[in-house]
Amino acid sequence: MIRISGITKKFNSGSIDEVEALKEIDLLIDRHEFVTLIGTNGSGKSTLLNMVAGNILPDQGSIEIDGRVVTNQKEYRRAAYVSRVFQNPYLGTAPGMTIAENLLMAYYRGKSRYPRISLTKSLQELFKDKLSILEMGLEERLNQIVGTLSGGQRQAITLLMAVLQSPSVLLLDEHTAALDPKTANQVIRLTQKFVSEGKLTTLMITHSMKQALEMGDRTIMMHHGRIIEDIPATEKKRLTVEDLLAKFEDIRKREKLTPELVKSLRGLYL
Amino acid sequence: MDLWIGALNLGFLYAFMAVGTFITYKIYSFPDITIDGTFTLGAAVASILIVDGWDPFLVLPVAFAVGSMAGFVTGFIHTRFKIEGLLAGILVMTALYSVNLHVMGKSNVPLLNSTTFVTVIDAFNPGINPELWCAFFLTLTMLLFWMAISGFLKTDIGITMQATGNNPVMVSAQGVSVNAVKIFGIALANGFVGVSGALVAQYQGFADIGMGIGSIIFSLAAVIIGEAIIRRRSVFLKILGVILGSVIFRMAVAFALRLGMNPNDLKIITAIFVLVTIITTNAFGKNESGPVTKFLRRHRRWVVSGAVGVLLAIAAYLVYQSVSQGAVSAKRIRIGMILANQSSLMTNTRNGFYEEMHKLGYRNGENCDIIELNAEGDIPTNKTMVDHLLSMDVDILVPISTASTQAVISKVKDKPVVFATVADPFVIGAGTNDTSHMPNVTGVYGSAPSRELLEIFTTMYPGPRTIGTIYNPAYPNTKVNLNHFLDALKYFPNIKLEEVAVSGTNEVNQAAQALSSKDICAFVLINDLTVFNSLESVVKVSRQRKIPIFTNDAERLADGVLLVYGYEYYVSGLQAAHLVDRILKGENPSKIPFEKFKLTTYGINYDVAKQLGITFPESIKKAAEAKVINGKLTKPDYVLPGEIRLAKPARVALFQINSNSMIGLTVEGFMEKLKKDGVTDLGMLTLKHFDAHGDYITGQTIAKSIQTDDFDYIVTFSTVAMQMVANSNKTIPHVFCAVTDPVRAGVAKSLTDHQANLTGLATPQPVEATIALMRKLMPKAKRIGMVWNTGEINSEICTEKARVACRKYGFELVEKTITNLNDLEDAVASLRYPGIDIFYISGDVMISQTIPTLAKKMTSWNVPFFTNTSDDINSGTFLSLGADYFEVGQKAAALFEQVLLGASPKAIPIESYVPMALTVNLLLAKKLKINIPDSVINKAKIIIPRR
Repeated sequence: MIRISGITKKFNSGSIDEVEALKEIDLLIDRHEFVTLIGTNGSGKSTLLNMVAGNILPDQGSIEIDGRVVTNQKEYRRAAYVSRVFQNPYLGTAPGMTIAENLLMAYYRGKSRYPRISLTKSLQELFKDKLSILEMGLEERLNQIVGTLSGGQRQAITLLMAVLQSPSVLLLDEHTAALDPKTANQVIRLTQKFVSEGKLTTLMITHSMKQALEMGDRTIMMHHGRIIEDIPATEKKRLTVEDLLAKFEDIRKREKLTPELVKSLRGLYL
Repeated sequence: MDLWIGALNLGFLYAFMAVGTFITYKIYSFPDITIDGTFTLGAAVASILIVDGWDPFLVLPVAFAVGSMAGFVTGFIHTRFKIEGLLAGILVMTALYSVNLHVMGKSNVPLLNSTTFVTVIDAFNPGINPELWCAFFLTLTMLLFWMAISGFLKTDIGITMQATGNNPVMVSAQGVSVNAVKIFGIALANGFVGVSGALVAQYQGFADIGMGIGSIIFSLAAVIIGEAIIRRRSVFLKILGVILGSVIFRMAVAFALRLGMNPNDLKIITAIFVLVTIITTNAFGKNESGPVTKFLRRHRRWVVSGAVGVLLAIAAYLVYQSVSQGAVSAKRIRIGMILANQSSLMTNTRNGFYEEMHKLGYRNGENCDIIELNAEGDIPTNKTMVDHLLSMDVDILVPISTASTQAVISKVKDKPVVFATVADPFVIGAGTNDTSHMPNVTGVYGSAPSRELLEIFTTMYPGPRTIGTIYNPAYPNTKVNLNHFLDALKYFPNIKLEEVAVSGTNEVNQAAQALSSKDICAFVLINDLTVFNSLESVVKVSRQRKIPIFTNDAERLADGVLLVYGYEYYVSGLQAAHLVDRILKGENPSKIPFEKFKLTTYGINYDVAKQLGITFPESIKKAAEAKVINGKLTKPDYVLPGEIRLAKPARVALFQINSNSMIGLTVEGFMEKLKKDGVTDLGMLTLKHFDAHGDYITGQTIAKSIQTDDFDYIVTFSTVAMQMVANSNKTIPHVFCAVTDPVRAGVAKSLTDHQANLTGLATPQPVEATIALMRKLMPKAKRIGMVWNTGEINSEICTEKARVACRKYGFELVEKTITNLNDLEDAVASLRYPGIDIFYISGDVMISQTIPTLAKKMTSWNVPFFTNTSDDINSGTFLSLGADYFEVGQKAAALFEQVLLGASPKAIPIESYVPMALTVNLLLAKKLKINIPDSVINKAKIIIPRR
């Protein structure tokens, strides 16, 4: 469960470049709910995701995860129950380390690490089992350096690392955007598999309308730091990509009109 | 052998530090400069605790802990305040410098008589070479350390550290505090560096404030070499590479020394070595490309066979060298000398040593080998140099400076050691007093005579006074000197001291400014390298604020200080040579007491006094031996009291071009002085006299033959004789005299900066005295006529002096210039009509040829004719005032004795010496109606010309 109440965030506060990225956002995501998040460029969706992850702290408002107030908690502390996959497939893994060592980092997510050697045979077997789910043959390459793998393979590993310890919240930040279509499909399939099997509370940003509609229980549209549409599962089923695009078109029109309208109103009444 | 094992051991000890750098540089990707300070910190803490009686192994965890704390601070400010790692390291390193000084309480803590890990290990030595025994243990330690650290990097924390360096974003997303892991890693790394410092201090037998300088460069080199030779990903192999890199680096230094390379070049050789290692390993690696690597790969066979060839050649050379050395060492004495750095303190000592050894009959390269090494300020290098000297099987070691002496005496127990220029051999553990000391060690020492200097100060400035001093507490010896100074100050309750400590030359000016605003009456500077390297900045303040400088450093008298009282370090080397001689002749060093420096110089600078408006009391004027007047430094002779005895025969060539009365007198005076001092009666001196009888070509031949005929010394009389010899002789000590101007003659740039193997006397014409005498004899005279040749610089100088003197004595100088003798007649004739009262020729060689003619003319004009060459009176001149060449000869002999007794001609400034001799023609005086007072007649040597 994620409860976001009255979140506001300004960047470059007080300067000419001041940007109000989020404006009093209220959002409740239920336990086990899978929410897809779409929005125009600069709409604030990434800021919102980072706010949940703890990368960015809000100016106002509060964030609650599973009943805990985490508003000002640091990212690495939140990581105990929030895990994420980045858009950049190279950000989620340490390239100079082996697959096993990377998985070990995820295995102890949010736990203390001691000077003991945990990477034993039994743990390696566990990792092999998990890797075999990816169906990429990586289970036989446990000691291979991650830097030598393809972007798709690395993103798959990152996804596996994110769900290895069943997080309370899974954050996906356009995690297939940088992959070729075939690999992207593979990763999307894996995502659906992990989310449904783990019943994970998930927030996924996507640029693909198709993904937004096909995946998840609910779709949220953002524009100019505000949530402008909240489409529940029932409505989602009826919507097509064209409908969604039409909604965006609406926004564009409104955008265009607004300043002119203000002008004409002024002309009429002043 | 010891050289290589010593290098191996040092490599092992420094490997702890290199591993620390591996963690920061390879894992976290920033070179942590903190280690320059941490290394010293570990050494300082360990040394202080060991001196306090702690177990040498128990101090290692403490060194680790303090090192970690330093690393923690760096890590904290790096992460918490987002300061770049490099800058954070620099900040902490800088701060540690002060911390380390506080920990040690002085700049150097000796462990010579303390229990160190080396002595503990040695207690179990079954009788093998101690260095090898130590290497055995260190190898085991290294194996353990290697396993431990590699194993640690395999643990969860180790993997987290590596992942943090590799991808902090990912690690943070996995719930790891990147900052905490970074701080932990930096602290761990610095812990190892602290241990490394603690071990190295124990191994080399002392901790020194400067021992950490350059650690980062060494560590990076070790890591890079290690990476280049072992290009594998396994952590175990990576760490092994770092340890090997550290050893290889130390080996390379030892190797360069072994090849006899100049230590100055070590750093560039290191750089090239690292570069070549990287390039060649890249070439044979799989995934590199580029023109160089392609070339190397294509010609792999040639490259490999070339490298093998070079290695074989080096091996052959080493074998040849050791064989030939073995053969030679049977008959030649080997003396190993170590200097800590290139400061004048060191080099003056060395020069004194060389000269005295030569005098004592030790010919470097003939009957003995003096192997001179210079650590160039790098403290661990001293240790490597000792090993190197031992590997060359030297018979005796001569360390110059405290740092070098420490390195030598901590290692050498079975060979004689003679140290020199050490401020206090007792603090470094060489002994408890002059007669009770390490059985194989003796030497020459002394700290600055502060009390005497302060006594002189109170003579000049009685009553309550404040003085200011500046020093760098980090320099070896400075702290000792300061303590002596503070002790001495207790005898002077009237003097209040203001002190400012600096840590670099760039702070000295500010320190002097600060002191000058505290109403001090003088700067009293103790011997301190930092301050003396930037003495100019104190002198500047001294001039601005009219505050005089007093110092113990006798060598800086001419550099703007008012008064010096201190030792000549030259004498330290001289004395050390005598000690070496005694030991080589069979005396036991344990029976030879330590000697204090025997000669002090008491010097005053009249120029500075004038600038600052100070007059010296008569007592000081009288007592001072060295003086600076009008930029000219006169120093006392370097003759040790009661030491005029020559241990070995010497052959001396005396050379003159012609035998006129002037030269004859000089030679006479020279010989008489030698005889009077008993030098010729020693039966050791063979004097051979050469006279070219005015023939230039013969002179050239003689000059050549002197240089090839195995003479030990050459003495020349006259400018031409000097030039003929000096031109080609740059090695045999050469004393000249009867020379007008050695600077113009090309053998010197100034009186102090001259050709290294020669010194002598300059005897310029006494122009001013002559004109003063003219005034005295002819109070009503107005005009002096002078003719001079513009082509002669010496004539120009005389004329310039004459112009000044004429103004002073109220004469009008009428100058006529010529460029050849054809014009002389007209020039002289033109003086007739304005009318002149006196005719004067001084030091003009061309015109002097015509003196008889000129004299005739002046007599007919009834004009008195003055010159500066005493012999001219026999050619008809009226009066001559010139040098007494008999005295010049005597003075030259005194100078020659200094050289004979071992002083380096280089260190002896050329002296300008003009003992006046007056000749006057009384017959002419009568004719010219000039009344000559008795006071002048009494001084005159020739009164009536022979003819």
